[in-house]
Amino acid sequence: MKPLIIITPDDFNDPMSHRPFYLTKRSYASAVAGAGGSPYLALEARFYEDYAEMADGLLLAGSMYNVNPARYNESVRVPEGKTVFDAQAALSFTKDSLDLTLCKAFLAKDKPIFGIGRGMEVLNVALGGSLYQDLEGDLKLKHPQGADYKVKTAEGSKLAELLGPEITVKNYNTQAIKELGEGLEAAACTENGIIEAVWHKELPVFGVMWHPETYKTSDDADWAENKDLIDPIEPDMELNARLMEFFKTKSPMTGFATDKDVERPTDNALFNYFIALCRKEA
Amino acid sequence: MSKKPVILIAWGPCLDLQFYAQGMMLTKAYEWAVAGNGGIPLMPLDRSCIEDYAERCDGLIFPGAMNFKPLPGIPQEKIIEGHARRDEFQKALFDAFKAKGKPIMGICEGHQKVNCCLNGSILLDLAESSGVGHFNTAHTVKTKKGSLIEKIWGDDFYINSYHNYYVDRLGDDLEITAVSPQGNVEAVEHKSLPIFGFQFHPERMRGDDKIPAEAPEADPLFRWFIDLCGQIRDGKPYVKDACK
Repeated sequence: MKPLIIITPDDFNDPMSHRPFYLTKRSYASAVAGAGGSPYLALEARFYEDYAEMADGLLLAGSMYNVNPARYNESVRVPEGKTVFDAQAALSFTKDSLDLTLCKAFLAKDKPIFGIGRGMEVLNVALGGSLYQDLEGDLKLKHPQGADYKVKTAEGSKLAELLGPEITVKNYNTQAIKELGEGLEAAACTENGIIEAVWHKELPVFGVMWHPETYKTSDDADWAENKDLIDPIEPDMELNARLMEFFKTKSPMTGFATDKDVERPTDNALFNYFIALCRKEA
Repeated sequence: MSKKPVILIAWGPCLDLQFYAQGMMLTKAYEWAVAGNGGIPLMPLDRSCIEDYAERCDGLIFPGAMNFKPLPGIPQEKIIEGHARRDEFQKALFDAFKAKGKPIMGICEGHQKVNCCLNGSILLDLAESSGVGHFNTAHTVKTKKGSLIEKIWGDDFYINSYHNYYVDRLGDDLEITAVSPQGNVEAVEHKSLPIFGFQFHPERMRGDDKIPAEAPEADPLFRWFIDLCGQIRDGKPYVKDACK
């Protein structure tokens, strides 16, 4: 049987019905399926032990939400020019709860975990590490947002074996690892010394700050096509009307009559390694 | 697998708001109804893993959704674009679960989808054709004597209503188990298989947030469905009308 991979959902309120919902983007599932896993979305925090029991691996997916700093013994700092409401809007109690309980349950069973973006931060926090709440402000440097930059992989690391000594990545993080969680070591850094990947010294557990699931999937095309349609950061009174118009005139699904032939890359080195760990073959 | 029945809840389409990428979403009320009644909820994510989903999971729920790319039988000019790949994904799930005799429940658009998967059809614009809109309102239904829905909730009660489309031609081997005051199909049951459809939203008829307030509590329905999924997983044959 294919390894059963549990993916963590993102968490939002539906701007139309005001109901809370879970969501995930298709590329996480495509990347898992391309590497030979069977992807499922976790939906209920109270069943973290059942999920950890039935699954072969956990994919901690990315999200716009930050981990609540209280989870690493700090108070939420309100960024300059922002309000306490802005700071709280960047957090999700339900997402923290689901991610951290799942992460700890899989760690307790020595089962494979792959953290991506926020998922790597969750992994670090679950293992007792901490984060810079405001990467650029705390470290007095500029960090590329949505633009390519280079990171160096640690010499002799598994990551260097998989991807080579230097890779070009792109991500959207505004936070970064401060203190490493117990058992983790840095597997890749920027030239400024920001940790971009972590590997566990003993457990089959690792994380990266960039987004390998976008590799050969439709994400980049979707971004180019859709980024100007809606503004999720600052919803305004026109949002509902714009969304309604969007769905009327341009479904996100247009052009796909079936999911049978979406891109499922079979040569994604990190996902292939993760699924091999889940098969206990790596 | 775990002792608790594992219930697969299919998704609605969405745009991921971090990457503006195509995604899948589910209102949490569905998973609360499953989890609150002893089932482990999971969402299927990839079209290439249908057999794996049908093999490992004990029951299937089709949730509601914003709009619908209908199967044949629908006036073309009324079609709202989209959902085509989701329809195909759900049809594959439906066929795989039906082939294994595993329970299937459709809710709202999922109820219409169950009907279409069994060669039925749906029509749009209930308000135009019947004179009474069914969106964001509540009304009564009358149930069929001896049906599951009658045994659980009685012969006449209030339900919520959030739909513009409705069942037209009934799917193969389905029977109507509840109708609205105008005679629209509000619930269906398969004549021999554990397949059920509800045009209203039982997952929103629970606990402190029950809509409408005068509706019956929906937990007994979900409890019964999830228990049934566990019994069929354990090899007990499905007996229609066995609900007490």
